Amino acid sequence: MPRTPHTSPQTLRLFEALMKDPTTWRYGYDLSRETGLASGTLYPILMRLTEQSLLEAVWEPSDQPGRPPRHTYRLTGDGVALAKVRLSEAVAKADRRPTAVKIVRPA
Amino acid sequence: MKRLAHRVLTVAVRGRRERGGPWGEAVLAEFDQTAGTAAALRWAAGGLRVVIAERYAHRPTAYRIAIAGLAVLLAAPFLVTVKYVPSGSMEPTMTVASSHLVDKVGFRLTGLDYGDVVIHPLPDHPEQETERRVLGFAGDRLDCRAGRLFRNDEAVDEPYLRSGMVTDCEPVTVPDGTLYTLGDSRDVANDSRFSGFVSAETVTGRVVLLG
Repeated sequence: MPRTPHTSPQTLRLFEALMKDPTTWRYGYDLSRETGLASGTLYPILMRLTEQSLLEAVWEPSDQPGRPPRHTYRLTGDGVALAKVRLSEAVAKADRRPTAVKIVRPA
Repeated sequence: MKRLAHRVLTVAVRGRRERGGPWGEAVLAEFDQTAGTAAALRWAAGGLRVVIAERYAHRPTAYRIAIAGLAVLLAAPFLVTVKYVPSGSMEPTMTVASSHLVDKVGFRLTGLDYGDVVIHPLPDHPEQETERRVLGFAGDRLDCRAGRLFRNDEAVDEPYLRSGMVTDCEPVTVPDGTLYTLGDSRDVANDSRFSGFVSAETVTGRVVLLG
């Protein structure tokens, strides 16, 4: 069975962070701080989501003069819809899990 | 340190170009935000992974497999080697004329444990690399009673010995920075009982025992 895309715990953490306020543009570093994901994990996910038009990426001029522009991100309409589905699936799965664990390993 | 990390990341992202790929540049632009050297180094290290992902993700799969295979071939001689066993001093674990895979790096990361078989030069014949089992670390007291090895007054469980094998030794305490190693053929092996303690630095590998 092929793997369902965008279900890894790292991607879900990113969805969670982005869904707090889906309309704000977010910086990569803030997302990294909020999700606890290292840059090497976070950015490849951002790249994948952007390629599939689930995420919009825009260069925003820095507020401080002389600083380079920063890349900002927010979910597209499709992205928001997918994030909702994936997060609710994850919640449903987590709800099922305790019973399953009990069967395998009685407390 | 932070500036060095920034420099390395910049070179990785841009090379000789004015600007690198958008994702590499994005990581680079966020670099200023990191607080502290450790965070900056982690950010830069992740940035290198981003650069690799950005540059090579779109190559055909066959090409990527070939590159990965080449990397393994180049790295393998530094990570593992094969040791030919010329003597019977590790019988029955390692038979004469058998060959065994030796891990040259992993043991440096995980450390050694009792019972590991390691490769080191014989203290009295430094030109000769041999394989021996680690039975004592610095500070351990070892002695033999009724043909059995005792470590810190406890009998050592040695299931790898040939049944009926008798171990005779002089009581010793292992000095700092050294190991006490024995061959599994206690009746023939020239090991720490005769050639003395093995400097821990001289260990070059750990035998990967299968089964």
